[in-house]
Amino acid sequence: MATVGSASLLVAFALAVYATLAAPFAGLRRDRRLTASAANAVIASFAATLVAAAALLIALARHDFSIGIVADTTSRSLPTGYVLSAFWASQPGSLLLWLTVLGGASTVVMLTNRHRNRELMPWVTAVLGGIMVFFSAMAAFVSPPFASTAGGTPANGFGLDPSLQNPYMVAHPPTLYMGYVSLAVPFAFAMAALVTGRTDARWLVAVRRWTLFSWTCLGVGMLLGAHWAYVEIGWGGYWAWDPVENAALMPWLAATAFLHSVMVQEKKGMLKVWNMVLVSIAFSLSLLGTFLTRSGVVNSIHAFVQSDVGIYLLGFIAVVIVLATALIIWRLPLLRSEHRLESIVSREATFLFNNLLLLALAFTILWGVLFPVLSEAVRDVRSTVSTPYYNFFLVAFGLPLLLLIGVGPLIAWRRASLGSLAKTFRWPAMSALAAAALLALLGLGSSPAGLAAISLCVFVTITIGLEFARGTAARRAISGGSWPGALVALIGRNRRRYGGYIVHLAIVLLVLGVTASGAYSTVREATLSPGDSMGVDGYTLTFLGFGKETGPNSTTTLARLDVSKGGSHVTTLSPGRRFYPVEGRVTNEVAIRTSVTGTDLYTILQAISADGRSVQIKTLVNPMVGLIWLAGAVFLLGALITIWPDPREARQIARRYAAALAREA
Amino acid sequence: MSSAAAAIAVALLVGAAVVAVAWPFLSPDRGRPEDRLSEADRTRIDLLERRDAAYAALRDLEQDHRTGKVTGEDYTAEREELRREAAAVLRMLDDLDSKHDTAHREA
Amino acid sequence: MIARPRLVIALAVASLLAVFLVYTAVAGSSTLLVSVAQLHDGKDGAKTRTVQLTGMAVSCQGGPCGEAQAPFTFTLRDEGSNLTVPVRYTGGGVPDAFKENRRVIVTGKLEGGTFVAERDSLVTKCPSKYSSGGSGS
Repeated sequence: MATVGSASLLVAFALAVYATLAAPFAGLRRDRRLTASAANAVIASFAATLVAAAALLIALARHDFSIGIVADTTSRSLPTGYVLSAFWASQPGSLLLWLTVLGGASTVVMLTNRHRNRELMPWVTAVLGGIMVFFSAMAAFVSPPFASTAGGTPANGFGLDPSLQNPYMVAHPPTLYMGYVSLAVPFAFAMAALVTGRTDARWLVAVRRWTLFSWTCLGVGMLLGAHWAYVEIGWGGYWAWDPVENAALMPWLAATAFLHSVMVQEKKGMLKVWNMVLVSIAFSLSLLGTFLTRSGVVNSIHAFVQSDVGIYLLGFIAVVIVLATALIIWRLPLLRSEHRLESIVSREATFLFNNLLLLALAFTILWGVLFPVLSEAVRDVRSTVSTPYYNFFLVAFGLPLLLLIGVGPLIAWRRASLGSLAKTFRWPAMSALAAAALLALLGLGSSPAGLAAISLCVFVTITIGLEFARGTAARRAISGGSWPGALVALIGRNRRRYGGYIVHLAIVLLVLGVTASGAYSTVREATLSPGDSMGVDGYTLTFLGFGKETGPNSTTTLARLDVSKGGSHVTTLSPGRRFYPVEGRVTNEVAIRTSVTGTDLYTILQAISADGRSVQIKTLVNPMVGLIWLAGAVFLLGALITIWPDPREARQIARRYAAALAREA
Repeated sequence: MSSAAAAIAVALLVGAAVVAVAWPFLSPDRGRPEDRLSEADRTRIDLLERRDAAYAALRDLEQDHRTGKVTGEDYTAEREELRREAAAVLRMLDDLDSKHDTAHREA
Repeated sequence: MIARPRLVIALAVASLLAVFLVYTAVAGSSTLLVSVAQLHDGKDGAKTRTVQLTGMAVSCQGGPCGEAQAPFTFTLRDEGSNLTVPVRYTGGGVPDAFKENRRVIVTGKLEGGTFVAERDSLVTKCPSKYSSGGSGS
């Protein structure tokens, strides 16, 4: 298996090199056969990568401990699902996953563009090929997945870290990778547009779905990771501003800016330079994220061993940035807008402010992540920033962004009159102010930022609701029918707009969940003997006694807690400490009770006393944290609606070609 | 997996790769109908795209008008601008068609 | 309309930058990050300030580190040299990944010869040999 795997990676590398060298020639000579050959090489490279991936999966399934990463991350007693998902549990394996996803995405691009974007495709192939060259070289030469186990073949593997034996940890890396890697496609098209000088909106249309797909995967991937941290790591939170979390957030923010900014270029021919810069930043940040988690450069609970891959990745990022910058500067004359920004009170301006805020947030996060490295370089001593720094900027830049989400869709293009604005925003603004007053009365003024955030959420929700209402009414006025029918028709005919509104609603839910659980949570710790109680936010938890649970490779000691509110029994929670004899580890198993409003009662068994009689319990009440996970589902729904192909669009394209072909005949 | 089997598997893979890369040079240039379109036809398709985009923009404007986002003077001004753009594209299409017809008649 | 657009944009960029600079200058929320060796050297006042200390956890008082519960004391060793320092973890949760020969980060202050770590400040870095928590990326 190892031989087949290693050889396949060499073949994949060679094919990628051919594609990267042949494609530019094909582009310059307008040689269609050479273009097709290069495209085929990309596809063949992916096929070779698949063979290597299959070889690794087979080696894992067969418990082939002669291969290093199989021995390091699996054991005979590990359930099969986790044996296979250990594919991406090691550094070489995760690099192979990166390469596999890249190959897959590139193949889809080649296949769907066989007869489209003819001028751009040779250069798209060259860029994607170049990226494949780099990652296949890493997999083939620098961090080979099929390297033998150091010190000979052990009888049993070392097993998978227990905290990774969780369905979320199986789904989280591939989802994130699909997000990171697929940003290469818009980037490739952007560079192709610059090289060929075809900088009109054509390349944007080609990549719209790819960008949406990547952005959705990054978003969902982050939420999966956050949920895993919440239920598995068990400190009561879901986001710690750890560098590897930030590594996914930064490209997502840049991609969000790009996704919105392209609308301005499509409609008004403006922000062309912005779009080139944004897509380059997004892809560079995606590579940077990959670098940060492989180089050991910054402290993170997720850092891998320091290896050469880090240095090479850094070099590759530098090449990407230099190339993109050079191309943009070269084509600057072509990127002049057709129109000028005429008024601050216009949708164009809103998108521009949107870009600025999102990038500002991304860069402050980048600064925070790199601070230890920078401070060491300047002052020879490492300093870090932590949660207060990040939270400050999240609020400082996030609140205006939230306002823009509500305002943007309602402002007209080019120039909005203040009169019509006042009319449109009267109800939402007044409701938001009323909500703010009400919340202040309820005591939520303890966190001014929280109060502001929730009021803005009310504002945005009402503006979105009005959009749906007015749109449905207008549709019904035209074609009659029932209200629900008109609503469905409205969404069906305007998928981008109304799918986007649904995604905005998801963001509102996310902000509500984060704000409520962040600004208004309660924490209590207590040491309890059987019969003792502790109170948290109206709940009373009584320690009933110990319990025990035996699993396939573990035993758990539980602390049974009776939960009551206002005198009546609510539920029984049993947080525990789980002991894994093979790995010699103890893990915290938290117990969570979620109410219908999404508020969680979260209990942790922190310690058992030496005499084994009393327990130290930490309880948190996280208001509305469930909204965060609901937001993920709504986000996915909105994104799907927006991405879903419109049959009418396809018919239109076919009609255009049909007329030309008829004339040919 | 034995070394012989591994060698065969790799050889097959390399063979398939070589075939894939060489295929476009070896196969007869059948090509799809789209590939045989002339420059004029491609320009025409471009113009049709721009025309459809202009119509879509007008539709969006109507939608915005109906839902009260754009009213009065702003609406009229924007509508006229978009109509001018659409008309310009339609004129270019007409020019292209008449040139094509002339060429055909002369041929 | 209100003001020339270019001017407003420039002002917006300037104010974003200003917010950033003012915050980092005033709030100064950065914490020193030191190794055990640097702590012993008293680098940059590390001996008297609250710092983030990194090192390798080598042994825990009262049993295997993997089963440790707060409060407990463990020995932290420098990764470059053989210098060690006792760390008293005063309370809070112990990360699941905590075990002998794992890299950790704790926040606290040196008092007497012992580094007293704040509650809930123990972070364990995932080991290089094994898979990491949060793998991927």
